Amino acid sequence: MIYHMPVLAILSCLLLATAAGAAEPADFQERIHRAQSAILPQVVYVHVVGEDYEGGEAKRALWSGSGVIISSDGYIATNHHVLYRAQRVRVMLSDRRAFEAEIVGSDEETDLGLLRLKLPPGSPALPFASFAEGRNLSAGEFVLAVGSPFGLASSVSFGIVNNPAQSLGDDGLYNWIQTDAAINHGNSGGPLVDLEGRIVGIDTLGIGGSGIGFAIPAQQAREVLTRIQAAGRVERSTLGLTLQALRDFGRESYAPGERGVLIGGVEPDSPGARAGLAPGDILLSAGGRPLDALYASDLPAVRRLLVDLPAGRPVRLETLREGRTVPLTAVPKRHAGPADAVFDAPEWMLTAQEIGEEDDTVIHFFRPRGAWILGVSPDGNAARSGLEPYDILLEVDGREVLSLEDLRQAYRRSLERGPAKRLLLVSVLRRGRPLKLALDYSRSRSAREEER
Amino acid sequence: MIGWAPWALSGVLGLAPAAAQTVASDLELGPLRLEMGVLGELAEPLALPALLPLSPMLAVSSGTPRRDELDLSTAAEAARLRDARSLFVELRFRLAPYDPASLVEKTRFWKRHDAWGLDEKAQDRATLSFAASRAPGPGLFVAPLFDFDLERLEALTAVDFKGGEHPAKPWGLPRRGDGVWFAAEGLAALPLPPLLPAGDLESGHRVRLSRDRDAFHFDLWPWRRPMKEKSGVDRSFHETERPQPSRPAVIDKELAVVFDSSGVWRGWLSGDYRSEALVSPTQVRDEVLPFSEFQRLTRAAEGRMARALPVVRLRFRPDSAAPYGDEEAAVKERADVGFPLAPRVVYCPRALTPKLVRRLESVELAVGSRTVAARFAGVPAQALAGYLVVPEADLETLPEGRTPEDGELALSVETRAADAGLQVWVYPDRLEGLATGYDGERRRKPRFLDGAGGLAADLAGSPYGLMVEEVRTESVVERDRWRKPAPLVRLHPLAELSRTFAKPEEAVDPRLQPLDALGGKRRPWLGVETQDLNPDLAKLLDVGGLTKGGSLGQLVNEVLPGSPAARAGMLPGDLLLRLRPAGKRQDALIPAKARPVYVRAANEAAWFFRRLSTGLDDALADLVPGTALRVAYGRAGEERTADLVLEASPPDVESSPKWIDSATGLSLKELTADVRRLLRLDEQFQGLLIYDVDPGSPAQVAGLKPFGLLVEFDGRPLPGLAELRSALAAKRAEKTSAVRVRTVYLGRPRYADLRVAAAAPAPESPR
Repeated sequence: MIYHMPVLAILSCLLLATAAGAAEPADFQERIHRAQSAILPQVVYVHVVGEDYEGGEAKRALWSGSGVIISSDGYIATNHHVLYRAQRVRVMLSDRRAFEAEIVGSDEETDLGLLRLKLPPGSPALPFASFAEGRNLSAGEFVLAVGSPFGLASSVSFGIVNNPAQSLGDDGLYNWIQTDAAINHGNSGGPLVDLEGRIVGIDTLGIGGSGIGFAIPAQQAREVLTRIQAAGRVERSTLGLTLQALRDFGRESYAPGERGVLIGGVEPDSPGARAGLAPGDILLSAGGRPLDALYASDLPAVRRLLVDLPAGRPVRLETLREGRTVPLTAVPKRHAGPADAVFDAPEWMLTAQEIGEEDDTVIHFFRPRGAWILGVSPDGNAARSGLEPYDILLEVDGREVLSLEDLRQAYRRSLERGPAKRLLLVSVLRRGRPLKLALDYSRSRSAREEER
Repeated sequence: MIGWAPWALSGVLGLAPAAAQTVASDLELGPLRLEMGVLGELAEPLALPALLPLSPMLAVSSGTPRRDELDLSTAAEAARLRDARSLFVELRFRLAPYDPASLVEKTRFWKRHDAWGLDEKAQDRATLSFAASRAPGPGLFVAPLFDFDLERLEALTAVDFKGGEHPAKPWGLPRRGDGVWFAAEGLAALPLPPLLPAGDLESGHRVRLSRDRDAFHFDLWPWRRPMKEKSGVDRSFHETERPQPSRPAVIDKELAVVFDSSGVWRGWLSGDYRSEALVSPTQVRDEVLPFSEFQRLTRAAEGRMARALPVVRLRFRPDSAAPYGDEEAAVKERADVGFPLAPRVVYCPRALTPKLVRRLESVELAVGSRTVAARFAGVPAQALAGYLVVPEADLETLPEGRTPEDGELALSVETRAADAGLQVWVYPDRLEGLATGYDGERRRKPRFLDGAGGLAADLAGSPYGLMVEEVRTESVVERDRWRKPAPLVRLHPLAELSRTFAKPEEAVDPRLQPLDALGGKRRPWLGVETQDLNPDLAKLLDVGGLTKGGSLGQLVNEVLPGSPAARAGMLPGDLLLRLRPAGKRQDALIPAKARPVYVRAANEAAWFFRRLSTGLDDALADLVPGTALRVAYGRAGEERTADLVLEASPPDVESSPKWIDSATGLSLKELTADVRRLLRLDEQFQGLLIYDVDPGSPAQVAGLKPFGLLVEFDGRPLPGLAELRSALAAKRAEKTSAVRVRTVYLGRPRYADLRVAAAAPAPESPR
């Protein structure tokens, strides 16, 4: 017995040693292999045929990205920008099976999108990846980025987490995971996984040629995707505030105190403005919940809190103004989302977009509602008549254009004219100044093709 | 033509070698060989008549020689013609090296090149050889050199017909006619044939000296047309041969002396293809100006001009709103030469553009060593370039010179205003057409006065005329194409200019005056925002008739409140068709398209606010605020008229002053009416326009951007630049480092912390 104990102890030590194993290079390769074989079957290649409106006409465009299967019945997580203006989505699995996919929804704010494979009935359950839960990534952890960079159907790259909470600007709803695992064009929407093969992030951004990429953290991704799955989009509210950290090194602005978040700007006529908030105020809490943003990396959490306030319901805001706490009440309004409705007018040879608050602040400033010219076809009818991108359409043929729909109707009416009468009076606002132009659309597209 | 025919003739003449040799040995000529095949024992006198048709000067003859033809069989005749040899001299010389950078030297070079066919190598240091003719007087002879070369001749040698070499020197310049007179002492010993006054000759012989390779030829032929005496000499010289570089460069010129029928030397031949005349050498000699005298006169003229002509120094205000790369906008000062037409009137012929006039800040005169204050009178209302200045002290005027006759020796004076002062150069020149009306294009203008500002003066140094650029604005038809005419620079008599500008206030264009410091870019203003038209637009708006199919007129888009147009009742949608300033008899059409203008803006804000000029701006460009106008405009298909008075444009963002604070890196302007309108700001809105933000400056770090509005500084509003400046100064005095400011960018208020400390030296940037 006595002799067995030490042997057992030694044996168990050896076993533990082999079980731990992480320090050994041979085991490291093994771990990577295990991770990638775990995740690879769940990563898909997403191929999109979509439309591009910026050249003045609706043009077919092809692009590709990656995605990760997140449920056994074929839900696929990817980026919003992979699905934006997509007409048709095809997905290829790692086992080379290909399916059409429908777009369940997407969210531009967080750049996440959800697809669902159109599987034939009776298909076996798909392998799906799970999100790493309840753990915080730390810098230096090994990660793998899996996806289809450059359209190559599947590829695994390896790196470490450079920064698990990188802040890239002031208006995000999350901090980014920065990694040096090679992320290139085509990796969008693919997963960033830890060595257990669990999703820690969705690869989204890269800086060309630098070897640095950014991924959306898994927890936020999962929340957003769940909401997209439920409603097709994410409902948010807005108070119309631009927030700034108390200690803003970039702007060299240091507000005193440790609590609250600095209001950098207030949209005119927004709930915040109506509540009496002003730039320079420090917002301490909303609905009783503290909003502390000492540094820029604290801002996303504060924003998430604010945008998730229920729209239409008054909320109490504690504000610090010149040393005094001022209670204010605001009623968040529903965030309309980007107005990216686009319209292609082939005979006019231009494309127009709805004026939205978010998209182009300059255009929105000059005309809150209506349509603006996104693109004009080079040497097309609109271009020759003197119309330019960023022109705001005020009137077409004497009728006011207050929405994209008004423009569509004006277009349809214009097509009813005979070939000799294809001349329209168009009133636009260019750089804030009104201008009248005569749109001659008598030349047909085929005639223009011949001229080229 | 004169040029080739005699050459051909001499060549052909050389075909009778036997006869030539006989003549040569008989006459013992050295380098000047007389080759006259027809002299001496020519068996077939008819050989000459056979050659006659080649020259237009000779009569066609066949068969028996006519009575008035040369009868060379007479020994006396032959002897007379032999005398002709002694009339000719070969002049050898070199040109002293010159400064090739000088424009005047270049002009001279080309004149030599064109006249003599000499290239650079030949002109530079080569020994040149000219045929010259002796003249009455001890050792005098005349060579058809350019008078301006007098001072540049070196190593002058006169070689007589026997081959003797004699040193020579310049003697003088004839008052009329070309050519330079030389004197060589050694020649005095050689007898001249007797010379009679030229008179009018019915017939005679002409002996021409020419050169054929190494040899000079004498050619002889009779003439039968009556020849009249001419008072001036004007020889034309033609290029006949290219020189060989290794040998002395020969300038082959025609020199012809004239003998009457009895063989007496009567004079020189002068003429061109139109007519010929006899010139009496004695008469010419009496009018030769000795060289030393000429030099004295030239120096005196230079000195006098240098003392009397003022240098006009102009200073201009900076033009901060000019487009990038505009060279004229960078001009800060200029120095021109002025010409005092009267004790209190100075005229500067160098052109001053309207933009520069408007930017003019100060005028000062430097005369000799003293400085005289002056004020700007204006630019001439007549079509003459330049400007008038009224000095505040009397200036010395130069006496008016006598008008030189055609071809008479006179002076060209060139002037330049340099940093050191006034530079004056005087050259001999012969002008033409002054007395009869110089039109600048066909007559021969002063040789060295190509540009405006040159003076033509008589030998006494008294200026007669000034080279002035005439402004031509109308296009001309040239070869069926319209084009803008090239500037025309003509000699204007000073007397005429003095009369024209006797009263400067009445002679200048009142519309073109410098603007006050804040004026900057005040344009003539009606108060409408218009846009260009085109045929399609005209059709849609149904104004084709009024606008001639969209080719004229401007469409009114906005009528600004309180403007002349608003008061006259104009409305958006009106079409501005024509306008007629008070006092004009004709309407001016308002063009449908603006002249294309290339502009570049310094930044986004400047680009956005920049007014693009329209056809209306082009139509109003030459008018001045205060002008009464009658505007013809169209509304609802009918034409109407409105009477209004042009105003100066209200301050706009381009003309309003910019304040730059280099410590914060902000460039700010006050809010003018156009900015308020464009950015939809009401009258109560107070703030300053952020026009530009220096890269890397505290303003940029704080997030301030061009196109934004600075509305609050440390919690206090900003109605104007003065408030901001004093607030900044106060904060800096307190040594505060950061101030809370509020900006509005496209209607969105923003907060920023602005570092205001004036410590850090910002990199110098030109404004």
